[in-house]
Amino acid sequence: MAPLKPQPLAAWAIFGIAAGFFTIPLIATVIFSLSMKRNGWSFEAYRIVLSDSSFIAAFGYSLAQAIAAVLISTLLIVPAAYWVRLYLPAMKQWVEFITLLPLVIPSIILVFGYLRLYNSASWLPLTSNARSTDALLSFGYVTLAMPYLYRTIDAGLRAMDVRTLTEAAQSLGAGPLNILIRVILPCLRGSILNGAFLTLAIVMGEFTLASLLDRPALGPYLQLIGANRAYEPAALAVIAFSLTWFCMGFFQYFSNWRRGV
Amino acid sequence: MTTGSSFLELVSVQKSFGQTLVVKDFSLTVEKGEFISFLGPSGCGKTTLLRMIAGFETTSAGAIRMAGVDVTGKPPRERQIGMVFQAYALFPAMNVFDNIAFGLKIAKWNRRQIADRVAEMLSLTQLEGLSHRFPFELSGGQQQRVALARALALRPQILLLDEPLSALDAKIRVSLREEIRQLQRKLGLTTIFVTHDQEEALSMSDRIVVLDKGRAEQIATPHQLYNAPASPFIAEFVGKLNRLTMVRGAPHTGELDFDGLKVTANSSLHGGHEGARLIFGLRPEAIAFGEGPAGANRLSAIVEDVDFLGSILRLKLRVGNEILFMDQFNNRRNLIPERQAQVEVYFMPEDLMLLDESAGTA
Amino acid sequence: MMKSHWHKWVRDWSGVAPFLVFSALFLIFPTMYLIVGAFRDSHDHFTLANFLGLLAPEITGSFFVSLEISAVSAILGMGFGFALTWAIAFGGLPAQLRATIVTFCGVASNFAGIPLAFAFLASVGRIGFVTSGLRHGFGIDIYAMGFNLLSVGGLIMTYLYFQIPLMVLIFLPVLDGIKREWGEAAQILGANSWQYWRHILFPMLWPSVIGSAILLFANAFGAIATAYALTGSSVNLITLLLYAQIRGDVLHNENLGFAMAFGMIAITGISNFCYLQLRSRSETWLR
Repeated sequence: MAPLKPQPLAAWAIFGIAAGFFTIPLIATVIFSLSMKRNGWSFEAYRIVLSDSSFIAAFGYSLAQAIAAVLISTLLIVPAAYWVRLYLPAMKQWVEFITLLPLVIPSIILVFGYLRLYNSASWLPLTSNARSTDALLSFGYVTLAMPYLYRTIDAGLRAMDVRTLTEAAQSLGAGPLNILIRVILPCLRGSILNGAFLTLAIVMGEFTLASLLDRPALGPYLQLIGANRAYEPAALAVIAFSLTWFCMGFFQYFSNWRRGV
Repeated sequence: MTTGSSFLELVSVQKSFGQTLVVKDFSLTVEKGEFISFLGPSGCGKTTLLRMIAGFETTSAGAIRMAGVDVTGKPPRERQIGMVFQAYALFPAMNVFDNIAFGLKIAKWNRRQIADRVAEMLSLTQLEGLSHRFPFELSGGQQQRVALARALALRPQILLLDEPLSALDAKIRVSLREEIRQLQRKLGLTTIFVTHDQEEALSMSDRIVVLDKGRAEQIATPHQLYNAPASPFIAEFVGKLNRLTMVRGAPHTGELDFDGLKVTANSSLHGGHEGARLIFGLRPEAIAFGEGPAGANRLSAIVEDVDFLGSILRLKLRVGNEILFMDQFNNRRNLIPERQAQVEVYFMPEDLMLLDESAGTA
Repeated sequence: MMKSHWHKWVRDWSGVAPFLVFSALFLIFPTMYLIVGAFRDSHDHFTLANFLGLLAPEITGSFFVSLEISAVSAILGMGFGFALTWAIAFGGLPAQLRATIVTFCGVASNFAGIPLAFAFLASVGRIGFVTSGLRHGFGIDIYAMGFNLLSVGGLIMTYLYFQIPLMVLIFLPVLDGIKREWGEAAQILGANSWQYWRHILFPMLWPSVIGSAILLFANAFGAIATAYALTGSSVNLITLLLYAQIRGDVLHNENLGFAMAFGMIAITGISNFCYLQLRSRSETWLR
């Protein structure tokens, strides 16, 4: 027997088991979500969910949070990644270390720190009213998305030879800000969109931060429905899975697009 | 060669992948201790052939014999071969010692024997002192020496080298190829060397097999191959060549018309139809300045361009409407001709190689 | 001279400064606050008493449950994920299937949290489709047989839904890095399949395998939403206990919460450090 000779039989067996484990819950959830009415299949659970005004509100709120998080992270991370590549290479490993921290620090720890550090009696009372708590939640999501967004943007910068591009633009008389906005940013479209969809996938169903900051996001809504209903959660799970699939589809589409440019 | 008994025999070997035939009816007899190169452009089947000898590819037809034993259906590990790969293929998590010792450990040698043999291999490949290094700590040339030592440690019957030099820098490539050749001679090791680099093949081999589209075009010594190519493909693939279209003059005279100039060819080319269009090959180094001895073909030429290649001076000459390349050894006492200068050159009739007789009539 | 130096300094830092300030405010300071708080009593004096408080059975118990679920789901995720990755990389499955599996893993590794809990409840919960299907169709009552989704075992099974895909995503590039020539060289030197695995692949792959498992462990350890939606508080995870503590100070000692947070950071921090060490080790070999 040759080393690493393909073993199709074993491979198909493993694939079959995996396919079962991963598709049975999905199929079961779809069927369950369609069986709310006793006399046959119906979209009743979906109808109830989609006509629930608090679902619409929660969905809209989380979507707005996701968009805010993408915008803020882009504004923070693109210049940082560009600057450390160009002007502060010594800082690069520190910036990379910082962007890895959110993977090390569980989100519940992060929000615990927010609640204690920014409570209404503190020097920066961000949790004292709803608007500023919304902002704090966005900042939290920026932090959660940071490892992924930094990595995609840095990969984009690596692929495009930042130094030469910058020097070319400088030789034509452009200043740093101009270069960043007119030269670098357009080249990073793919990377940013790529990271944006990953951020969207992370933020939409996020529970811990939204719940502990007590904001009306999709995560706490889902939890509430799950605790009180039977069929609607299955419909919501199907919707959430489709949404994740949609985000990851775009994520992969844009990763390929970036390589194509 | 010493005994004359054939050591490796390939008998009418064929290989097809699906519908495509990549090796067609290939036969070769290799003597013990011989260094054979498989030379050809990419996709010519040389690597497939090597992998068939190694046992990684099955043969669709034909037989492979080693030292009189039919090994056609045997797995690689029963063939007693050593192999060196283009990308080194050192085991990354093992140091130099463990890489070289791997085959010995599998063969269950004892500790002491292994240490002795590895030490011997290290000194043979001049790697003393590097035995505790890991592959990532070595240069490309060093890695390839380790791969060589690893392949030789079990004293294989046959050494297979699959483009082992092509990933290396030009300087290292030349020095390592000399080293491989010396080592091979010293050990009397039957060796098959696959390459697409004609210079490597010419400099290292006892015999060269030129492959094209899965067929052996010619099997010959480097000298024969270069000076008496069996086909136009070989003439053009090996070395640089001028292609001259000439028209045959009256039969029996051996005279040819080269763009209005009278040229004489070798007597073996006498005969044939008058007015037939023939294509000849002429090596750039066969052309020289001056009038030459009696019987030489003399040409008047204009120097179009001069290319200085270090040891060689390559001149682009215009003769009438034709372009000829001429190589001359660099010699600091010689003057380099000016561009557009008129020069007299000659070549001997026997240096013309007939490439194509069927190019039609004038 | 001074002026241009000053200008350069401003230019060099201007692009990074917002990022650094943001990270300090919303990542470093909040974490530091908890770490410092873990060493203080209610009167802001230095103390180690909070860590003694961690020894309360309620807290050690939940630490152990969290460790158990994370470790078991990481080991199983590593095992099944390795098998699946091997099947994709070397099993000879059609290329199209490989692309589909990789995309699916991207989705499934992000399909965590509450919806995942819903999907498992709808499938193998007490009234789930699979549960009732088995009961009515085949007369098999998995709950009567001892299965319970709202248990440690059920939670581990649910976690595998994102652990296995994560393992595939981390490990596929590693297996893709295995060169065909290594196998061929080993074969020519007399090795059989087992010896090739034993002497060449295993020494090369183990840092990546263990490293990936550690990453899966840390991934599960910090998770909360799936467990919360699935079990409420019937499985006593450290994250769930901390969640309750943050909401209502159930431990009646603020600084004890900080100590728990410190303990969690220590565990995930050490895990990630080990992961990075092991990864850099295998990357060195394959440079």
